Amino acid sequence: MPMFLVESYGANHGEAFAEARERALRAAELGIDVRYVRTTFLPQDETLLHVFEAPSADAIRRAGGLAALAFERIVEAIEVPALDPRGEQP
Amino acid sequence: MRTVVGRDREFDAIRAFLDAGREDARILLIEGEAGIGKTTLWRGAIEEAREHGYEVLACAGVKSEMHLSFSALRDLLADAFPAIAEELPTPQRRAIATVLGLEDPPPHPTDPGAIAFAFLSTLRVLAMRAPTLLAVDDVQWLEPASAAPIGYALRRLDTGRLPVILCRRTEEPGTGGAALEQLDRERLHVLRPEALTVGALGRILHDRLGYAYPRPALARLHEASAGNPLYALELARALGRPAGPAAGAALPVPKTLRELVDTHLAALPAETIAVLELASALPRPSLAVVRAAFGHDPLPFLEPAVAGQIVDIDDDGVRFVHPLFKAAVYGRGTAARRRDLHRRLAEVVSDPEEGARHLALATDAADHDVAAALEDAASRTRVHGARAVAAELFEASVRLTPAGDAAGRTRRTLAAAAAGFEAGETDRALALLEPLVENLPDGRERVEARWRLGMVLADTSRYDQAMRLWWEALETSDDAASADIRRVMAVMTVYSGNTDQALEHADHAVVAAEASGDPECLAYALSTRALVGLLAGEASYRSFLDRALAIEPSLDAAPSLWSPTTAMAECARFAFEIDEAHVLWQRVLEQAVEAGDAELEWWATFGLARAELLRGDLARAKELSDVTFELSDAIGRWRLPAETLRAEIDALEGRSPEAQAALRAVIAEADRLGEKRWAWQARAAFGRVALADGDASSAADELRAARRLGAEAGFRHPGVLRAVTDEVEAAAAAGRLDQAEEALVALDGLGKPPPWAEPFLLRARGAVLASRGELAEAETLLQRALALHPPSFLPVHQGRTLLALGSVLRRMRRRTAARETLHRALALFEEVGATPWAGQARAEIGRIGGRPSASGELTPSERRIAELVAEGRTNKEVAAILVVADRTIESALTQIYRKLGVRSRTELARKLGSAG
Repeated sequence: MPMFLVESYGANHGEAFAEARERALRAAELGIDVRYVRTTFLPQDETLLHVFEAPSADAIRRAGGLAALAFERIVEAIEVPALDPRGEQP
Repeated sequence: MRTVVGRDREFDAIRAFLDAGREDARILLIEGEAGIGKTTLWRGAIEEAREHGYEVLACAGVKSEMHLSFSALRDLLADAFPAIAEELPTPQRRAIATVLGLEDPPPHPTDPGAIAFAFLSTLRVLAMRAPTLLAVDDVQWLEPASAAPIGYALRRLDTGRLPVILCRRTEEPGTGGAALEQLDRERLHVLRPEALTVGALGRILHDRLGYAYPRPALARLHEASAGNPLYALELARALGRPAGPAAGAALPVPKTLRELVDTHLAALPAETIAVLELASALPRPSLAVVRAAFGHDPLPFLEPAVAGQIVDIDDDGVRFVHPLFKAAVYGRGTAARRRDLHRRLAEVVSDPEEGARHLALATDAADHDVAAALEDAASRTRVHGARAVAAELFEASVRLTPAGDAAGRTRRTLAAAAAGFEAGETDRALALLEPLVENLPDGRERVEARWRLGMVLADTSRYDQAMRLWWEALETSDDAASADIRRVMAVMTVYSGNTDQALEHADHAVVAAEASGDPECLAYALSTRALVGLLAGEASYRSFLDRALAIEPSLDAAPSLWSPTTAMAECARFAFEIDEAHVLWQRVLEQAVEAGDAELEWWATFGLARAELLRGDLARAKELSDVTFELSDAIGRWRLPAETLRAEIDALEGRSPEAQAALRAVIAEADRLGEKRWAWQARAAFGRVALADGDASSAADELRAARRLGAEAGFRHPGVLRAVTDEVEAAAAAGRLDQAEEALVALDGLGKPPPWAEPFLLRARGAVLASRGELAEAETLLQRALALHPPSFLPVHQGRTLLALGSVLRRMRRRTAARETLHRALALFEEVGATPWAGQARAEIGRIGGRPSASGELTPSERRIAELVAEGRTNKEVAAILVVADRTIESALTQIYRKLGVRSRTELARKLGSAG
């Protein structure tokens, strides 16, 4: 299934990051075939980068709407796993 | 709770500020560059405050309104004032009601100091009813008439429930900065909104424009705008929808925010711009006025501007989303186009002052009707108390006066100078008056110009130049003008220290006033003559005063500094007729407050404070001294005597080092300005303070300097006598008998002393005798001095005589009598709160050897008092029997009760009865 990066403003303040992550998890629960992968927070930029697995960007958009997850962009993402110590991909 | 993207830290600070503002007086200053988000925070703070239960008074400075009077004050108080108007004293209510247009202005101009005072009182009343937030946006653009009272209030807010939030654009000059001058740094908190982060900008662009840039483009926008949200929005509009700029490509936009805004505006339809231009030329662009000037319903034409987020439409009318938009719209047209805008607006606005302003801006050629309209608006504005605005309108009327109307031009220039001087703009007044004096032909106008120019020069301590001008004016003045000029010359000459010349001027003023046949002119001249005569030591001053007072009831003039009653109060104070001075100054104070005359209020409060000090009511003197200080600030005058008075009170309360430092500063400043009257007063006060502190040597030095200055200036009023007797005592205490003798000779030179002065003279001579070791002779004089002291007169001085006597008795080894006398002195000093003198009394008591009174053992005088009280006599009766003040008995009873361990007269009687 494709993966998507969701860009969102996240205030570097108090519980804002934790709340945003909760909403991302909730979006995955409410969405159809939407799986939450992880969130990266850039505190200096006050930017959250959520990664989801989903059939389409629309599916994430709908799920985000249900979970009141605000975002600015959804773009397709390609994950490159880390190499194992032997230099091979797992 | 309001949320604003990227401003969580700032809102935390605002919430904490509002919480603390319930308890402490605080000011929050939000400052930063244009577009950084100050107004957004300001609006958010207002919402937060309302949610926290605050009432809110809000206004915003507007660049195009900086020449209107009181527009900010009206915005602040228009809604809140009617509910609390009746809780204000009548003069204050009237001052604010006049500013708000709720009442007609009084016949004579409202004093700006009175408006400032009234504004502060209004805020305090509102805060007592409910916690109130005062919020001012763009404080740098406050017009001067409002900036002055707002600044006055900000410097004096000293209680909780009235926090203040101000916004200031850091790079923008403006006259509203006066509101921020001299704020207490401890109460001022500064909040500088930081640049927004990339993420926050991205959210704003998404929410406001629907744009979502790729991160690299967003990062470049962030960098180019330096995190300034308004700049970023304008950049984004210029760039258009994403993809944004190609990687590595320059951003295809102009560099400045102003250019971005211009580009944004250029995209609007011409009819939209036409409506916006009208709105931009109005301080308050209501839809009704815009419609009337435009000639059509403006709403459809404003839609593109609303969609483009240039303006919002609300109940108040058209509101530019950012002041930069308003300035850009106004500035983009030609000068001819702007004149046309103002001409159309002048025809439709209802406020006469605003209409006159539009007329002035619509015209660049002389026009008789426009000049007359401006003069009329200026006169009305001056009466309202907005003198700086009045000066400006008068000057505009001068500019537009046709060349053939020389009389009109002169009249308006003199009025502009007078208004400018009253507004404290002496440079402006000078610039207007100097050419008039230079160029006018001889005649009434030139006399007036010289007279006014002299007043401006005297106000800035250039007395010689002022006097030269007045002499020139006298050469061609009529009788009434001569009387006025001579009167002013008399007073200025006294200040600069030549009493004999002052008398000459005052005599001439009376003669000219009599010749003029003008009763008001004569009353003022006689009042001045009386005062100057008193200062010169003449006993005949009273006859001039009586003549002035006889005329006063027939005058139809507001009370003033020159009024006969004011002169009578001042004479009573100088002549040490304390009770009369107290009653008279109280009357003048009530008249001053009623008339809204802050200068007269200053004099009355100062006079009353001095009277209370002499009566021994230190607490009341201090209250009045504090008010004198506030008034000095409000009117920008007479800070030196206010400082001197405060220093004397500080010294009596035991803060002698601070008092001496303050007096040294006053002396230096008075010397620098050539203000001999204030220099003399401060030196005499310094001597008193040092003498109380036991520093006889410093006291003797300063009092000698005062005596010499007074002699040089020809001062011979009763205060001089008091100061010279202080010098005799100080010199004697310091062992400088030559100086003491020299001062005694000077006392003789002051002429026959008034009756109240006898105890002072006896004490001074007693001090010299004691210093020479002639103790018995000293005791005789001091006992006589004591017997002559009226009980309620100058209690500190009665105490000083007791102290001197007690010291002599101690040296004569009459310990019991010494102890009793010194305890009486101590009781008096403690009663009036004269801390340093009380300390001297205790020190003398401590020097008495032998057996002190044991606890429970009454002194002979205490025993006598106790016996009389035990017989059932009242304190008043006991005081009359023993020839002492009532408060002496009260103080003694406190000691008696303590020593005998009783709590009432009944217990006292029982105790004495059982003791047999």
